Amino acid sequence: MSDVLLKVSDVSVTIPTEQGTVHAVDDATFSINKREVFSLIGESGSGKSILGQAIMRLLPPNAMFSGKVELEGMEISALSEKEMQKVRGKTVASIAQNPYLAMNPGIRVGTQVAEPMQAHLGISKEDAKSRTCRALKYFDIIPPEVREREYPFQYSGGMLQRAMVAMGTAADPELIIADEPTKGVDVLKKRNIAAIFQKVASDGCAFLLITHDVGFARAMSDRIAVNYCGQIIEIAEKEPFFKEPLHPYSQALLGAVPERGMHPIPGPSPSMIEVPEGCRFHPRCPHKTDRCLTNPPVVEINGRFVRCWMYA
Amino acid sequence: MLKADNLHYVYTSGLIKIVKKTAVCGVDIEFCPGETVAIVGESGCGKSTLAKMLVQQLVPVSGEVFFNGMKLTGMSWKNRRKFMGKIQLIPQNPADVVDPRWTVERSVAEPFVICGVFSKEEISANVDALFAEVGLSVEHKTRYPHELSGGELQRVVIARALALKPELLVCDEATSMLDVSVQAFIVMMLKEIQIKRDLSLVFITHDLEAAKAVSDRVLVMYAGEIVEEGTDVFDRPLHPYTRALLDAARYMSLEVVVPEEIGELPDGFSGCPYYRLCRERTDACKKPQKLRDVSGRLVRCWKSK
Ligand SMILES: Nc1ncnc2c1ncn2[C@@H]1O[C@H](COP(=O)(O)OP(=O)(O)OP(=O)(O)O)[C@@H](O)[C@H]1O
Ligand SMILES: Nc1ncnc2c1ncn2[C@@H]1O[C@H](COP(=O)(O)OP(=O)(O)OP(=O)(O)O)[C@@H](O)[C@H]1O
Ligand code: SF4
Ligand code: SF4
Ligand SMILES: [Mg+2]
Ligand SMILES: [Mg+2]
Repeated sequence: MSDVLLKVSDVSVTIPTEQGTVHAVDDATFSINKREVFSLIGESGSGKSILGQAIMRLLPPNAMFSGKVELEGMEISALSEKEMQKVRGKTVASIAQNPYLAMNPGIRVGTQVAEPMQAHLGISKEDAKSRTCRALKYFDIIPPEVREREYPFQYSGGMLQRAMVAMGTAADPELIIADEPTKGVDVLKKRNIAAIFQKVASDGCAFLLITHDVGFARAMSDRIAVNYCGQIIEIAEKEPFFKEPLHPYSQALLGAVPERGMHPIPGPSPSMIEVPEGCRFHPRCPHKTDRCLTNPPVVEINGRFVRCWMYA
Repeated sequence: MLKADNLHYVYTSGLIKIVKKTAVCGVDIEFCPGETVAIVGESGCGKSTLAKMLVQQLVPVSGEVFFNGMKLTGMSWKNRRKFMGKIQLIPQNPADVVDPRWTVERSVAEPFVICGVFSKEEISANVDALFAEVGLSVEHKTRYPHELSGGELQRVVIARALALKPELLVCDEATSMLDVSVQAFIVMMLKEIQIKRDLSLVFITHDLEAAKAVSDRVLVMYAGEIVEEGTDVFDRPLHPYTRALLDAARYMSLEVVVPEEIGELPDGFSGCPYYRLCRERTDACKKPQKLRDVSGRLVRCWKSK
C-alpha cells in the first residue's frame, strides 16, 4: 500500500530501574495511513506515552529501543539526531501529555506557539505572531494580544492545554502525535479541538491520538488500538470496535465508563517489571483457560487484530 | 463544616503596566460532612483559583473561609497549620506538590515527617499502605516524578493528599490522566473512605458523566461566579450556560462556535457575564444578575423559572 504514512514494526522499549527492567513497550506493530486518525486507548501506565516518545525519538536517555519506525518509507529510527531534528516539528509534531513540563516556564506562551511556525514554515516573525494570535483566539484564549504575552503560570490548566494544541497544529505537519490533548478542557472547547483536528486531517494530516477520553476517541477516530501492560492487544475499525470489542480487556474497559456505572476491572494492574506470563491479562480475565499461560497469538479476523487465545 | 463567604480573587501581573484579572468574584460555598460536591464549568472560569483559596494556598482578596466554625482567613500561619492536614487539595498540576528532585516515596512521606509524631517505621508502613491504596506498587516507589506515567504520578499526588486523613478533600482534575477503569477504582476508593470517616469530597472536573455519577450536589461556575447550584442540575438544567454545556456533552457534535462571532464585553459591563454567548439574551440581561432561588435551585439568570 502506498497510502501508509507511518509504519511501526516490532518496536520494543525497556527501561532499567532500581527495581528491575520496565517492559514499557513490547512488540508494537501497526501502521497509520495518510489522513487517518488512529487512536490508542488503554491502561494508565501501559506504555502509550513511551510508544509515542519512541516514534518521536524522545525517549528517556536510559531507555533501550529495538525495532523499526518508518515514515513515508524513510526509516526514522535509524536517522542521526541531527536529521531527526528536522523531522520533528516539521513532519511529525507532538502534543505532550504534561503541558506544565512541555512548556518552558520562562518564555512567553505566544513565543513558544510561534516557534514551530517560524522554524518550519519559513514565515516572518510578524506573520507568525498574527497567526499565533488567530490560533489562540480560535481556542478562546482571549484577548489573544494580551494572552500571547503571558507566561505559562498565568494560564489555567485547560488554557495551557489548548495552547499546546495550537502549537502542535500550527506548522502543517503530516503526522501529529497527540497525548491526552483534551484533558482539562471543557466539553464546549473540546469541540473546538475536535474541529481543528478534523480540519488539519482533511488537509492531509494523520493523527496518533493517545487518550483516555473514550467519547473523544469514538467521535474522532478511524481506527482504535487498545494497549494493556505494554502490548497492543486489539486493533479495529472504530464502528465494529465500539459495537463489539473482542478482547476481554477491551470489553472490561468499555464497561468501566461512568455511563455504565463506574465498575473498575477487578484485580490489581499488573507489574510492568515482572509482567504476567503468557497472556498478560490472564490474572484478571474471566475467560482464561490453561493455554492462556502461554503467549497468545495475534489473530486476524475480518481486518481486525486481537491478541487472545479465544479467537485462535 | 467548611464554609466560605463572598470570596474574591484578583491576579495582578506586569511590572510597569499592572494588569489586573478577576478570577473569582463573590463565591459563597458550604460543604457538609460526608457530602460529595462536583464543581463544573468553563476552562479558565476560576475553579482552580477557588480551590486554592479553600485550602488556604491563596489568600483571598476579600471574603472569609471557616472550618468547623473557626475562621481560617487571617489566622496566623502557626495556628492554621493545625488544620492544614484536615483540608487537602489534589492540585491540577502534580508539580505543585511533588518535588522533581525527590523520589515519589519521599514526597508521599513528607506530610508525616512535617507532622513530627511518627517514627521511621510507622512512616514507611503508612507510605506503603498509601501506595497500595491508590493501586501503585513497590516498583514505583523509588522513582522520580519524571519516571512515572501521567496517571501514575497523578495517583502519587492522591496518595499524598490522603496521608493525614483529611476531612475535606478537593480533587482538581485529579483523575484526568487515568483510564476509565483506574478512575472508577480511585473514585470507589474515595467513596469508601467517605463512608468510613465522613469525608467531604469536592470534584472539580470536566467529565460531566463522572460528575453526574458521583455527586450529591453540583455547582456550575462561569466567569468567576457560581451560576447554578442544585442537586438535580444534570437532569433539569436551568441556566442557559449549563444547558449549552450539557447539550455539547450529549452530542459531541462538531458544530463549533466560531470565535470571530463572539463579541467582547464592553469595559465596565456589569451585566450577566454570559451575555456574550447567550442565545436568550435581552436588554434586561445588561443588569447585574443575582443568584436566585428557583424552587430549591440557585440560578443566576433572571429568566429561569
Ligand atoms: N523514565 C522512566 N524510567 C522508568 N520507568 C518509566 C520511565 N518512564 C515511564 N516509565 C514506566 O513505563 C511505563 C509506561 O509509561 P507511559 O508513560 O508510557 O504510560 P502511559 O500508558 O502513557 O500511561 P498514562 O495513561 O498514565 O499516561 C510505566 O509503567 C512507567 O512507570
Ligand atoms: N498565577 C496567575 N497569574 C495570573 N493569572 C492567573 C494565574 N493563575 C490563573 N490565572 C488566570 O485566572 C483565571 C482563572 O484560572 P483558574 O486556573 O482558576 O481556572 P480554572 O477554572 O481552573 O480553569 P481550567 O479548567 O482550565 O483549569 C484564568 O483566566 C487564568 O489565566
Ligand atoms: S488469552 Fe486467555 S487470559 Fe488472555 S484475554 Fe484471551 S481468554 Fe483472557
Ligand atoms: S441573564 Fe440573560 S444573558 Fe445571562 S444567562 Fe440569563 S438570559 Fe442569558
Ligand atoms: Mg501517558
Ligand atoms: Mg484549573
